[in-house]
Amino acid sequence: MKSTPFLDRLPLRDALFLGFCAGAIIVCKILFRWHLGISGHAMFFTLIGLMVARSCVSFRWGATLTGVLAGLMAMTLGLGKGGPLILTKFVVPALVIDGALLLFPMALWSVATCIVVALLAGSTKFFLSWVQGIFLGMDSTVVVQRAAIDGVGSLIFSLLAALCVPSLLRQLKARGVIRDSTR
Amino acid sequence: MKRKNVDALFMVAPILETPRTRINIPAGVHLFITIVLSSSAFLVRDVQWISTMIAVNLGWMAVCGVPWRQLKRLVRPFAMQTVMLLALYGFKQGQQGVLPAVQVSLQLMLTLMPPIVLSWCVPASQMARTFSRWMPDQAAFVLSASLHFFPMVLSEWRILYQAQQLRGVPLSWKQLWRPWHWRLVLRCLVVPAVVIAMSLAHEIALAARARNFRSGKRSCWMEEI
Repeated sequence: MKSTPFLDRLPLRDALFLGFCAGAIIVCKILFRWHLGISGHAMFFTLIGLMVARSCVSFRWGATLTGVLAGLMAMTLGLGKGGPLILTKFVVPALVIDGALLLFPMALWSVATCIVVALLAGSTKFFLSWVQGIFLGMDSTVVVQRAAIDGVGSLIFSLLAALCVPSLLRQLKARGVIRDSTR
Repeated sequence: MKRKNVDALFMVAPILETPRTRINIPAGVHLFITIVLSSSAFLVRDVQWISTMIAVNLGWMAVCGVPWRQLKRLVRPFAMQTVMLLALYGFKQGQQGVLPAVQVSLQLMLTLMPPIVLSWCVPASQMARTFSRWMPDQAAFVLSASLHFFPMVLSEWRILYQAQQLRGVPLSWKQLWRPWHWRLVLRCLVVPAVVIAMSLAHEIALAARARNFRSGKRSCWMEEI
């Protein structure tokens, strides 16, 4: 049997929808760029965007693709301070969401499991900050402290996102956007 | 939505000189140099190399035609980070922590400065075209179509926002300071916005299929017309 290329299994309509979700993440990031120094607030919109994208499209790596597109858009538009590294800020949490949904396809429909998935995705900020600190050759204690400051903010906003997502998905299902809840 | 902020999304390039007055560097080369400069900032460890990197970055800025007055805009985002690092290092090492803290924040700045210069010098459409050379056709189309049609999606969302306000839904920025209104954002804005995005995606996909997308060779790119 001839295997189809990775992206050919995804209908163009769904791919474009993922693109729009990625765009929505970027717009929210821009709208709430208030420079308040609150770490991790962007994780709120990122997780909602990634989770909605993954739930509305029956593609196993939907969140990852949305993350890649959001990262490329952010790079293209020069958003944030990450440069090429900004891609990891979107892709790594997206990989966590896709991985969790591969194991537990219904995880986003209950608040408790959604919180677990969101906290796992949000904790990636800690690891990314830690890895960046290690590469920069920072003092080990400072690396952990800095990553903890970044990580805690991110976890709080991930938790808030997780509280919104299940009810949002139920409303989308009621309007026929999500047809099969077992995806 | 704040119109000014949303429109700013499509006006990223700041007040740079006209391309005639600076060297015209291809977007791919610019991207490559950016990655090299960014990555080498991770590798430098001592003061000498950091100062060399600063000189190289300033030189690169000059080559790209970024005016010196823009330097303030480049440095500003890192002020908060530097204060935090100074506090953390100062807490642990006292006065001796000042030098390593400054060194690390300079490294951080050197890592992230070239990408900012990249975004100022290379237009979004040129970046999307550069990406499309390395990506599969469909992914490149999705990226460029999302960027191209996103203003349309935004205007649809803006109409939706105004329509909901006309219906009396308390969604103005002032009213949203009250947390009990936040649920309405989900119900009256986010859900219809997803539905609109889905239907627009369907229409664009239909239009692309009508133009034989996917069945033959890529025949044309908007920028090349």
